[in-house]
Amino acid sequence: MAFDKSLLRTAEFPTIWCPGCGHGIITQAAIRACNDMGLARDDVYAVSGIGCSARTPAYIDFNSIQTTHGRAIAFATGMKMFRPEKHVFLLLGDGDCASIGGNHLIHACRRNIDLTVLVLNNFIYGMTGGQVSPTTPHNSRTTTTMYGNLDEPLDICGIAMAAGATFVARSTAYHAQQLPGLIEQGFRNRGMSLIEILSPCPTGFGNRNNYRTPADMYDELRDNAVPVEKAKNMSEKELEGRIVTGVLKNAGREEYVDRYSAMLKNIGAPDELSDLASGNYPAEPMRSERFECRLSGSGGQGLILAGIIFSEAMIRQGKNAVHTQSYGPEARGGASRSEVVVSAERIDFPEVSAPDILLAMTQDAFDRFSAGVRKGGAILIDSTLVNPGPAAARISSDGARCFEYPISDYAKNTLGDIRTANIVALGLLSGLNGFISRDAMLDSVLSRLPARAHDLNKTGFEHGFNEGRAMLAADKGG
Amino acid sequence: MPYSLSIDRRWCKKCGLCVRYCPKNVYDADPLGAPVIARAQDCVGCIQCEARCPDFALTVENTPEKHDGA
Repeated sequence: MAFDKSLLRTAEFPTIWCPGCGHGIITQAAIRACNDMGLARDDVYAVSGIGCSARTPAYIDFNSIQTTHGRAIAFATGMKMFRPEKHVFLLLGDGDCASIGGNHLIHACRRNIDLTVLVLNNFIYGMTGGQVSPTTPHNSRTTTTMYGNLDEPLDICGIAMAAGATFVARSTAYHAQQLPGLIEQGFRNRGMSLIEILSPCPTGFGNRNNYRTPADMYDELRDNAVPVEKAKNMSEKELEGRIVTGVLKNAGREEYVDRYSAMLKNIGAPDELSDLASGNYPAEPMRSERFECRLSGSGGQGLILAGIIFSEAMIRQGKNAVHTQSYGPEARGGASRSEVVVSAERIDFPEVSAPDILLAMTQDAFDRFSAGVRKGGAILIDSTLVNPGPAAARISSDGARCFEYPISDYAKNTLGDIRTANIVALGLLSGLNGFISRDAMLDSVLSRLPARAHDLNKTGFEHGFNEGRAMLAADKGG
Repeated sequence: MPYSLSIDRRWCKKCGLCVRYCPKNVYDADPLGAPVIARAQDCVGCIQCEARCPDFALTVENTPEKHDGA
């Protein structure tokens, strides 16, 4: 039972927990479990939600994240999928885990993903002032059950076992020296592990239920605990009000990340991004570290596809790119937009805040987004459908430039297919921006279109590119 | 003295768990409830106080290996 105090974030101490709160004992036990397993700081991810329990990762120097209420398991699932070699464990309260996040819990158990969930069950919503929680015992008093709780408490372990978790255990904060071993077993189980740990809340629960000191609450945990081996020979009546402790379930089953890896292998999944990126496309360097592009218009104009092609062209050029899309429920018509963030660095924030390029293919899109363009940025307008009107003066005073081209008219009347408008627009954008490689963009366009459409779209793209270059030269000349 | 006990007064919240659960009755509570190491020579190094301290305030050192384990 080693204990490495260097894993504590001592600058945060003393803890915010009330005197006698069991959460600190459980936190210590979790650290001991990691120490016993010889896990280094970076081998472990700690995840919490909201509540008193949510403070635990703040005191442990693992890679940690505090998430929104009840959603910790969803965040942890993402972390585990992305870094399957790490031990991801969660420190959740009874409210966080069993009511607000109850569905996440059930389905994570069903999925049997390799997470270790510690439920710090203190029978109450402590941080918000002591309201009834799903695990508050029958007849107990809380601020919202002043005359005693009418409900029966929820059996979190029972739910986890029924839903398919492969390791389920229960203990209490009194049994501090039993905890590290149980937590270690949870860590070692490849699959969903849930360990419910009863944790006294002397302030929120004890004060209202005739416990005079914190130790009275711990005494009760000690006196009522029954090891699971002994409980097997006891009747239901004898077990009433008792706490069955120990390993309740330990049954192996195929784990979710393993299933996912096996599926990838079976279908021979290609590593698309690394296949795509070559970086051998000569182009000017980007003007800024992060480049944002917003393609806006209405559904059916092909803006989502244009965004995907734009992103792939950037990846071909060896950059990182993130594409997001937003559109209404209609299949045709309705506002639609597609946004791309490009950077040579990692992109941690995927949203466009002030675009460097705005493509506006409807009047609505122009009116809505033309004011948000970054200083020095460019707006490309489909002049068939958009009239900039008085906004043009404001745009130039904002330090942005406005380029107009009758994109839809050219696509429909010259090329004879309105569906090529998005590709003409990509040609124009490539012509207007030297850091976009013409060849990379064209390769991306062709890779996303069926062979029978290649000639037409290539003509459209090249026309757009040349027009863009001409507009850029005229702009620089003027 | 085989075991050295220390209490970090900045972190201790006087919950009284160490005083209550020490099997060798090593601690006394002062009038305000704070633990006092009264009979350090009786300590057997079981670390029940350290493991059960919610505030990481108690440290038992020189713990022999045979006591390591739940």
